[in-house]
Amino acid sequence: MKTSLIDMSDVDFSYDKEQVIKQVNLEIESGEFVGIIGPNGSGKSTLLRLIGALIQNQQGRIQFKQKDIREINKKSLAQSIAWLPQEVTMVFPFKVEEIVMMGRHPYLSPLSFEDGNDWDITRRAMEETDVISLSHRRFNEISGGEKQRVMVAGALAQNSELLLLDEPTSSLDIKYQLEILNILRRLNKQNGKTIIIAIHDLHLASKYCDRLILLNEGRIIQDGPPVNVLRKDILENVYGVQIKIFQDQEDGSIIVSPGNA
Amino acid sequence: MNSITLQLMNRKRYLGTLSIFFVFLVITLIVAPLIGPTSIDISKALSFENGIANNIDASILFVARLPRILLAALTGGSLAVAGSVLQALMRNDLAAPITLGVSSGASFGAVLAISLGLSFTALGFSSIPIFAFLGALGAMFLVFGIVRSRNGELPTSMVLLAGVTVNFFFAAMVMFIHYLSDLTQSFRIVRWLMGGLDITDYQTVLSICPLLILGLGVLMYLARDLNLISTGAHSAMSRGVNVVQVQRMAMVSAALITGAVVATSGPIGFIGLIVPHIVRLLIGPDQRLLIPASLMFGATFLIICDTVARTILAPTEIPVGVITAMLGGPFFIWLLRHQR
Repeated sequence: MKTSLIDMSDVDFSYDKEQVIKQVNLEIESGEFVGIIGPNGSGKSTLLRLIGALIQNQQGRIQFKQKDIREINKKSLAQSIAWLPQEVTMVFPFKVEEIVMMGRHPYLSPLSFEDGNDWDITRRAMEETDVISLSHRRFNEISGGEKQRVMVAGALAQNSELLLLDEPTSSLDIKYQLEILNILRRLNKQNGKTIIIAIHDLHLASKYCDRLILLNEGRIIQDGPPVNVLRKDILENVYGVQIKIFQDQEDGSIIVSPGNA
Repeated sequence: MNSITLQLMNRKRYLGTLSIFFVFLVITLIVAPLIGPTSIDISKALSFENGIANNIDASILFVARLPRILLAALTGGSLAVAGSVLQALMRNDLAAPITLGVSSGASFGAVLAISLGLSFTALGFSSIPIFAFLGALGAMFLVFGIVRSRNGELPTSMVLLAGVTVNFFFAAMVMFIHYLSDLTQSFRIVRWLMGGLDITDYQTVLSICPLLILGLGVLMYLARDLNLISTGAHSAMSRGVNVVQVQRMAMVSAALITGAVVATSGPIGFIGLIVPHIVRLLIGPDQRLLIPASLMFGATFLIICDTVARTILAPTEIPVGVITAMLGGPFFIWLLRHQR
C-alpha cells in the first residue's frame, strides 16, 4: 500500500507582492517519480522549496506524513527530505568528499566528529553515483555533470527518502543529463526513493517520470501520467507556441517538437 | 577504484594539524618578549629576589613587553577568527571586520564612549569594549539589514557594497565626534584611533578575556553549521541548519570579539581579511579547523608584526598596521600564486 508523503492543500505563496504559487493542491505518495514542468517563472523552483520547507507558505497547509511541515524539527526533517539546487557554486575550496560528508549533518551533534559509520555511508553514496574517484578533487574544479553527481551523492549520504531536485539537468549536455536521470531512476526503482524533479526537457520528463505536474503562473494546470499531460492543446496554450507531438514507438515517451517553424 | 581512501577529518588529523599551529604560537610567545631595543638578561629577569619594581630586566620583560605581547596575541587571533567566520557567513572572500564596517562600528562605539566621558570600569569590565561591541553589532545588523532578502539567503554581491558604505558612515561619525570634542578628549580619541598595542597592562588584557572566550566558544559550537552556510543558505537549511538563528548567533559573537579587541588595540585591518585566507590555503576551508587555526595563526602573526614594529626603527615605533600589511601582503600573494 502506498503511503502519502506530501500533502499540500490550498497553498499560496508570495514573494513580497508577487504571488508565485496559487491555490496548489497536491498529494505525493511514497515511491513516486514526479516531474514538475512548466514555462520559466511558472513556480517550479518555488514549489520545490515549499515542499522542502526552505520557504514558508502564507496560506494553506503542507504536510509531511500527516504532520505540518513547519512543526517538524529541522534536523529530523532533513533526515527525510533532501533538496538539490540547480547550480552550486562554492566560494571556498571544499573537496568533493567534504561536500558529500556534509550530507551527514542532520545526524550529527555540534562539536562532534563524523564516525566510521558516517565514513562508510559517505563512501557508499559516492560509489553509488560514481564520484569516488573524484573524492580528493576540489568541488570547484570538476565539471557540471560531475558536480550534480556529487550533489546527488550528498543527498544519498543524507539518507532521506524524498529527493527534491531543482532542474539538475538544465545546464548539462545530453550525456550528463542521461547519466543523472539514470542514477535517479535506479534510486527510485531499486532503493525506493521518492523523487520530485523540476525539469525543462519535456521528452526526458515523459521518459523518466511516472507522473507530471504542469505549472503555469503558479497554478497546477494538469497532473497525471505523461500521456495525459503532454497534450498538444494543453502545451500550446501554456507555452504559447505551436507544437507537434510524436510518440516514441519503443518506450511510448512523448516527443515535443516545434509546430510550424 | 576501491583503493581510494577518504581523507576526511578525524580526531587524529584534527589534533595533529592544530598542534603544529600551537607549537609555532608557543615558540613566538617565548621568543618575542626577549627581543627588543633594550637587551635584557633573562636569568636576572627571572630572579625575583628584589621584586619586579627594583629589577629592571624583570620590569622590561613582565611589565613593558609581556602584556603587550599577550594583547597582540588576543587581537590578532580574534580578528582572524572574526574574518574567517564573516567570510563563511557572507559567502564572500572579501568579507572581514574592516570591509563590513564592523571595525569602524566598533571604533564609533569606543569614540562615543570616550567623548561622552563614559569610560568607567564596573565589575572589572571596562565600558569601552562594551560600547565597541555595541557599535560593531550595530554595524553588522546595518549591513545585514541592507542586504537581507528572503529566508536567510544573502545576495553576496551586495554584501561588500553595503559593508563599505557602513564603514564610511561610521568613519564619518567618528570624524564628526572628533571634530566636536574638546582638546583633551580629542587627544584621547586620536591616541586611541592610531591603534597600537603599546599602552596596556594585565588588567586590560584580562578584562577582555571573558568576552573573547564567550564569543570564540559560541563560534566553535557553530563551526559545522557555518561550513554548511558557506555552501548556500538553502542548501544549509535542507540539511537541517537553522540558518537564521545561526547567522544571528555568529554575527553577535563575531561582533563581540571584534569589539573587544578593537576597543583595546584600535582597528588593525589587514589581519581579519588576509589571515583566514592564508590559513585556508594551508589547511582547507573547514571551519572546525579554520577557527582554532586562525586564532593561533592570527596571534602568532600579530606578535611577530608587533615585534618588528617596535624594534626595526628603535627607539621609534612604527604603527603595527603598517607592518601587518607590508609583511602579510607579499606573503599572501606568494601563497596565492603557489597554491597547488
